[in-house]
Amino acid sequence: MSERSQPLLQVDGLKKHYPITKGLLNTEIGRAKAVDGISFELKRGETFGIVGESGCGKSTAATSMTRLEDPTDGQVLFDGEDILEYDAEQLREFRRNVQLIFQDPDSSFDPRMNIGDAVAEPLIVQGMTDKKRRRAIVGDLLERVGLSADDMKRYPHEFSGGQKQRIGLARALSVNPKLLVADEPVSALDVSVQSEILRLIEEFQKDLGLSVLIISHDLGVVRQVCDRVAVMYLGEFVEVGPTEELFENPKHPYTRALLSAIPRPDPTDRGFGVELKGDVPDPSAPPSGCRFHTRCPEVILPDGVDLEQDVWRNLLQFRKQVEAHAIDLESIVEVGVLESDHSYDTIEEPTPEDVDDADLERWLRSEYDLPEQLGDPGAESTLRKAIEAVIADEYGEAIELLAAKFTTVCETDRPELKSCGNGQTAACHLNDSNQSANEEPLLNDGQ
Amino acid sequence: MSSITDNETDVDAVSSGSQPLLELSDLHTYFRTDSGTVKAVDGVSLTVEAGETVAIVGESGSGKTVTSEAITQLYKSPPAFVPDGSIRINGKEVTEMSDAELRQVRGGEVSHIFQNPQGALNPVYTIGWQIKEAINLHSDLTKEEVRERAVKLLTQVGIPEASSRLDDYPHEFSGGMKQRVLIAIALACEPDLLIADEPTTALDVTIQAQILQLLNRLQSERNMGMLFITHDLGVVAQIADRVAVMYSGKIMEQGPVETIFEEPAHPYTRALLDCLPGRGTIGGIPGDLPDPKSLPKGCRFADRCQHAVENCRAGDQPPMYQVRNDPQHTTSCVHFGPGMDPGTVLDSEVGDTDLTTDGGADSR
Repeated sequence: MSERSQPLLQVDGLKKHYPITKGLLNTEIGRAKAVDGISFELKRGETFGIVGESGCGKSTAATSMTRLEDPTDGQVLFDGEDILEYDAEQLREFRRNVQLIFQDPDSSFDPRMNIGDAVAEPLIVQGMTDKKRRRAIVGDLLERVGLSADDMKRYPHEFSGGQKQRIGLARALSVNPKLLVADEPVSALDVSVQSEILRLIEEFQKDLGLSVLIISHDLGVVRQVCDRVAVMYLGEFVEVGPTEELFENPKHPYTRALLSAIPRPDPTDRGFGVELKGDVPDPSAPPSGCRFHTRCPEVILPDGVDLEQDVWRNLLQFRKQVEAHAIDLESIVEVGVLESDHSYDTIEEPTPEDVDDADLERWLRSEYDLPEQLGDPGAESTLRKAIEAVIADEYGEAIELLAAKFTTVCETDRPELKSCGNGQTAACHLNDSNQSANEEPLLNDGQ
Repeated sequence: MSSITDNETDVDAVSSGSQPLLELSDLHTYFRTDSGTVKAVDGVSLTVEAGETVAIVGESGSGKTVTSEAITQLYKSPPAFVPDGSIRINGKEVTEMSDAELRQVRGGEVSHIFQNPQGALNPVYTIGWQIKEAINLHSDLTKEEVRERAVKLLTQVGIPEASSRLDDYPHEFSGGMKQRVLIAIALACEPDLLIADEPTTALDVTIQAQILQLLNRLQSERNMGMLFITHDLGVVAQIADRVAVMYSGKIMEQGPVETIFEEPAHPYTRALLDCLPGRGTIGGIPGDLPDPKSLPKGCRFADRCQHAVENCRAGDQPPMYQVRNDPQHTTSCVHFGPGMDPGTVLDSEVGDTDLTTDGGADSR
């Protein structure tokens, strides 16, 4: 009926959690939340990209929305049908309509099967018994991806990485899929070959009216081929929008940081942009509030505190360490003594008790890159009291002091994906103050 | 032994010295295999001065890694052998060194960092043990001094709470942190030359930016020479002072980084630049690298080159001609030879995209 108007793929609140178990009884002690509630729709003939750092859950998202793995929660509609309710026959049909290509072209072929057979395999699986027709299709496909029909008799090792990826593409297209899912299709290839493959995907997308889902960590790749892009961080989408809008005018600090981290091929424009400190947090214990707040270079200051953003960032880092009871005074003393002016050389192995409290405070501040004096007097007095408490091993008091003064909205409230114009949606409190009137749920974006 | 942080080295005195820190001249490195001799490096000349970063760019199979491994003879020999050419580090000839002398050079004057930080650390020893091992190999400090030095090194590469992390095992570190540890190990003996072979390829962009920044800082603090191997022209633009573009065992073009990006003179360099996302007008470079066992006559890029003429396919690889009489900028392309018109290459549209536009602006 409304086949044309309806999106090809609708994903709503998709979650995939992996249990972390322990002991003989496999008691669940935690969950790695690889994908934690993502929603989007893929229109017919559209190319949609998911970008993110490694470990953000983008590949898991792809496998759970193609039912290679069963999602923990959420709904996936393909052509209006719920893929989780498919029986065996429907699933086979679905497998025909959705084809995948993977990152490593070397390991996606059987080394003992010639290319012709490899490309024909999906046809056999889908029940095409006519050998002549199979050969004709395979020959045609190989030529379409830039090889020759005579290559059918050759084996995978005779081809280069780029050629193998072309063959992978031919194999995926052999059964006329509606959706092509490409998981890092060019990451293993040289730049000179990358753009060839991307151009080929684009060509097929146009000629065959394919919908394409591209998973990549490379923003350049996504920019080249995608119509719309979702930026993923720790199992969630932080920003979704049309490619050019998103690249020209990113609304989420994470998108901005990712974009500025791409080395620009211009030697006159050096400097590495916004530096993101630290690594992606553990997905089994994601940070509260906005998941990016632990690395965000634009965390919102609490009311009544006035600090430079980088000092504020370091202060938050310090607070996290205090809360984890992870301030290692011994280590700080060891480093401090090494770098000090030999005033503690007489003591064999100095411990925190041996050194002057003022020195200790100075070293502690330098370990966390905090200035000797904060610009905001109120903040300074809280910090000083907290440091004194830490040195006196009164962690409880320090945690309370810091939490009372330095709690930001970013760590208490989880931001929702909200529209911010131009078809873009972003999940960031920074956009709340400007665009609070404009609230739309994600599924209606751009409509 | 002086402290690690000391910064007293006089920049001018070192870089204006009579001999470069590293000098490769006409280096050949071949591998004997059952099916023939693989000519991985086939006549490479290159210098690196103290305080300078030289990047070697090329596709996989171009011989860039073998070139870097030749410097400290890291590969297994046989099958590898050096039929011709010389490698000089601070004036000393590496190809004539004994095993004992080579051990002094490796990790001493010259250090390596590699692509895959996972594979480069031993999982059964602590980080501290592995750093101390590197220090012990090249110095005779007391136990306390070695530990102090390890702590300092880790602090310098930006690992928080260094002294408590010394007792951690590699699996307790993330990929970016492991690469920092490896940089600390590489710097343990204050090398004059650091060879970084695709050090950020296995890392995420955000972590890559951190590591590049760190390398930049450490290099200027120590006035260290750096040979940076990469396939990523974006990284080259951010970190290199000079660039050598390698293809099929030969250097195709060499010059200061600004010149290479503003006026690439070899068709291969131009094609590579054109492959950058958002810059390109063509889809990739058609064809493949030539077989290193049977190299074609003439210019090795001729088969894939859109400017190839008849004498590109005869004789040897063209010599390095100067571009616009700039002795710094040389290219191995017949169009720059005597009596030829460099405009054929320089004025071609490919690779001509304006540097200031960073996307989409298609000139065709």
